[in-house]
Amino acid sequence: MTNTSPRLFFDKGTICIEGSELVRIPNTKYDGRNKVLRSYGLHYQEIIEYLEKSDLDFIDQVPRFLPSPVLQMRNLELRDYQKQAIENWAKSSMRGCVILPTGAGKTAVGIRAIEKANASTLVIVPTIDLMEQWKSNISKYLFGGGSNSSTDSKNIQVGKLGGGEEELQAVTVSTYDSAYLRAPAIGNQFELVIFDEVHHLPAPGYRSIAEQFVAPYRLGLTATIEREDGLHGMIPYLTGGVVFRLGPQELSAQRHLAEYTIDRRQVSLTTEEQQEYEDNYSKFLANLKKLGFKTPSMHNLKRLIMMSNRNKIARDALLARNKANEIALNSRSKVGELQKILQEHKRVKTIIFTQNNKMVYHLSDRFLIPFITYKTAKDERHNVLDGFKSGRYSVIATSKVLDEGVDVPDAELGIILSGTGSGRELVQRLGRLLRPKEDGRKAKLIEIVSRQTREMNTSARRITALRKNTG
Amino acid sequence: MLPLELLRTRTSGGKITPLFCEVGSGGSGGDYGLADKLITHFANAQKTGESKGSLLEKTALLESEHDYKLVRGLSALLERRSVFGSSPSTVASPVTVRRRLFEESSARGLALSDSQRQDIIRLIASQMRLLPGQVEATMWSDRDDNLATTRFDSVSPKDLILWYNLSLAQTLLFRCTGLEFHVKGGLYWKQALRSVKRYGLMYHLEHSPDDSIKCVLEGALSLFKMTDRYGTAMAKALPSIVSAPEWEISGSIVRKTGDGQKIYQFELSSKTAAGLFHSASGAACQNSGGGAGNDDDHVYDSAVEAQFAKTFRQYFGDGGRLGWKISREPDPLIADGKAMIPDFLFERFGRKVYLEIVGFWTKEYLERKAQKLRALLPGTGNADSTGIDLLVAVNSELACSQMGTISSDRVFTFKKNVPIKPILEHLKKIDKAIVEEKVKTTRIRLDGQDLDLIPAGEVAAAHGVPDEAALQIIAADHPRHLVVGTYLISKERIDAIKQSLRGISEFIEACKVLTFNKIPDSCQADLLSKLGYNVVWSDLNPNNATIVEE
Repeated sequence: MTNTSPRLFFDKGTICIEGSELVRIPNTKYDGRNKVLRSYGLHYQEIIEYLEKSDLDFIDQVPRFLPSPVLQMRNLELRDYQKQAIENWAKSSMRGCVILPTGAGKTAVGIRAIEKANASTLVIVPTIDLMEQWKSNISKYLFGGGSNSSTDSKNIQVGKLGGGEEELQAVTVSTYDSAYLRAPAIGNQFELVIFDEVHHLPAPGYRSIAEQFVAPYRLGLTATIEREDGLHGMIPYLTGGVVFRLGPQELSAQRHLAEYTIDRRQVSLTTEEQQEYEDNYSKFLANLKKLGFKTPSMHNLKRLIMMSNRNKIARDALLARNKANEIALNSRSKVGELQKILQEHKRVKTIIFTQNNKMVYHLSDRFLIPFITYKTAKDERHNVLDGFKSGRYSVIATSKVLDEGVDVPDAELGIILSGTGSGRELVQRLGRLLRPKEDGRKAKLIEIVSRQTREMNTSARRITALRKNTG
Repeated sequence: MLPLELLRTRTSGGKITPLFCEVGSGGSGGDYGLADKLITHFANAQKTGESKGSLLEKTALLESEHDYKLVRGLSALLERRSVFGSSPSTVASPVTVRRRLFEESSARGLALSDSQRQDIIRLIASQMRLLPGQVEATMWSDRDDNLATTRFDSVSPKDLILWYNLSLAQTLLFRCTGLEFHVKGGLYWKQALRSVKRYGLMYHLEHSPDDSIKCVLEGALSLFKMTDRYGTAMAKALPSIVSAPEWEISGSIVRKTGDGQKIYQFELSSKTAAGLFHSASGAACQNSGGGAGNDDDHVYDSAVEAQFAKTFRQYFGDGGRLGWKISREPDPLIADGKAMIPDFLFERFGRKVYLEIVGFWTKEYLERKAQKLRALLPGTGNADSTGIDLLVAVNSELACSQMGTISSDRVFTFKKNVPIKPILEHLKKIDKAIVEEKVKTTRIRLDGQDLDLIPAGEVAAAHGVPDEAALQIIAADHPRHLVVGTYLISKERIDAIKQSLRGISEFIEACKVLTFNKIPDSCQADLLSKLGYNVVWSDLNPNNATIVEE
């Protein structure tokens, strides 16, 4: 029909190749709907390289990269391991993941990567807090301009996608959710994509972000790349493999992080609580038996959750199990123990972690300590974090929100009142504490666990995972 | 749309169906009774300014008698019609109260005993000129659970249930990997396809085996693997499909089961879902705008179209004198899988002529339109075009250059209003063709008829052919008959009439003779003139009229 050159263009997160009837191109598929060859945005670089290698003429209308000024990093000195990480990344065609413990300066690595690529960049992060934090760091350390003289350079405007804002700039920070929604529209506008906390990326939904962007340069950042579901095996395909890895213990050895100790305090449930716990847990086991399950294994639990939709016995079993867990996690004895610890550590900078908001509010009300939950508004959150930094507040309580990446001022003591068994969570909680201390004092983590409950297993699982991650 | 965890379905034999609510008000234990109770709880909460926490505790109590997912689903919808705000009794900013309490507590090394806590609260209370009880109450008054129900936009139990049912069907589509649908009527196609495009879906139109048109929905990535990535967009497009009076959908739903994922089929239509959703009036609760109403309430895209429709009907009635039935926005034509919904359809004896009016639009729009038209029109090198008879009226001042590439005998231009004449000429041409075709293909037997007076009009209607065709066919078999109006009269009968008319000069008497010979009133004047008489009127009274032989 036509003897003009194939034309490549971007369409809703994919690359279409038109007028290439006689050509076979790897990673593409014929799309009868529009009579074009189609491919994920992800394969852009490979397709271009293939066409060039094959000496085929083609018209490339895919990239609409946002124009970016010459970007320069100022006032930010990289540590040796950060320089090494960037060097390795650059050597592998500016693709791949860098694994650094929390507090080791992942953001600095990211900013240096933007300078290195010197191109339009989208930074994708899991939370609004992280978005604000990246934005303020980028504005602080990246300058756009021409010459080397610092008087010419200007602070760059950083765009934001998410949290109700939608402004695209040459350097833009987005949440995973917004990037997921907008990828079909903006997938061809960035040359570099940085995935912060890249272990989120392989999740079935988020995966399609990496698939729809055409960015030839990709950088993944995380403290712990391993996922309990094993899906981290996909990361090399989505962003490139691991190009640099450093564990918290190596980092401590380099004296960039504080040394730390872990302490576990066991408490008994009150008699009343113990009774209620037993009642609920036996009800759970009895219902399991009724349904024909032998053991309360993880596998059986999943089946139970699925059955609970339609089956009253299964639903009652689940409710009983949740109730028992809640009792163990939120025991009054724990609050009593916490009170003792606070007494022992008066005026020590302390962060208390809990599993749920209800407990946070309870502690805040009882001890009159400031708190942060995911519902806390921006202003109050700032006030709490600033107050903690300046010493106006010595103790703060929080649920999961501070787990990931948010820059929290140093704390010397962390208290885990309740938590899940995930190794990642503990690493991240440690990360809150593991900032270098000027006077070389050791940081400390205390766990309060209910004795004679299944919470003991949870805690053991946590510590094992931690050893594996750092060892 | 509801949170996915509140989806209620039933599966059997590879099919999945949402557990819709019953609209009928069957006792207080049924779905209707539950909806009614929940609405009452919300309405009361609004009256008394009850806290959200306490309201939701009350609604949660209903979970013991009903499916908890249904209770929560209905509550979630009612929450969207409510506003929860700070209680009017709040005396100070909770944020300020907390900050002062926490700062004081931190300065003292925390409230590690109850008496220390009370001291701090009393101090802050006196500093803020409040009572200690007020400080404690204010401290947590902005927590979600403590917010007061300040507004509730009430709804009838029936409307709540209809809204819930639509939300439930939408929620099922979150996990949809591909959806097909059908609606009837061009207006509804336009409405549905508009929202399909708005939500970034790709679509493709095809003819079903039963010759109706179906639309296949999916997304760009669907090519590479089955994905439910576009499920949310399909869910959003659903209200615009089911608000049509006649619709059908079928889709594939992915579901996690004990052993991996499984695909279920989901089917629903305006017949099977009768009474489950708001009919035709649009998804009332979703977007408050008025619905599409019935066919006569058409909103015309442009004044030009409205004017044309008016003129055409004035001249020719609807299916009347001209014999062509005119209708607005018929079902789409398919151009390379895309929809092209012409503005008008003229129909007669199974023949269809479409009219598209191209008025003032952007250049891009015209280019797209021209491309579609080229795909549809015969003789433009498109093998798919199956001789669709489409006329295009183009505003000569606005659209010439883009439309220049379309075969010109189908295109005519207009300045202000679309002229009737070129369309009429085209329709007449087709009339002629229809007659020729029918004359060739139709056999007429006049068994049991009075062969002296053959009512060709009635015969034509009985055979489903134009009058003209019947006249021609019968005249061919009876060459000596005389054609009068839609009748054929034998030579013998004519001679007999002539005989009887001899010596009669009064018009009224002549008519009596004709009536006696069974000549219908409508043909009498015509027959007299064919027999060579002139009717002479002295005034308007037929009794005074005479006939004169020429």
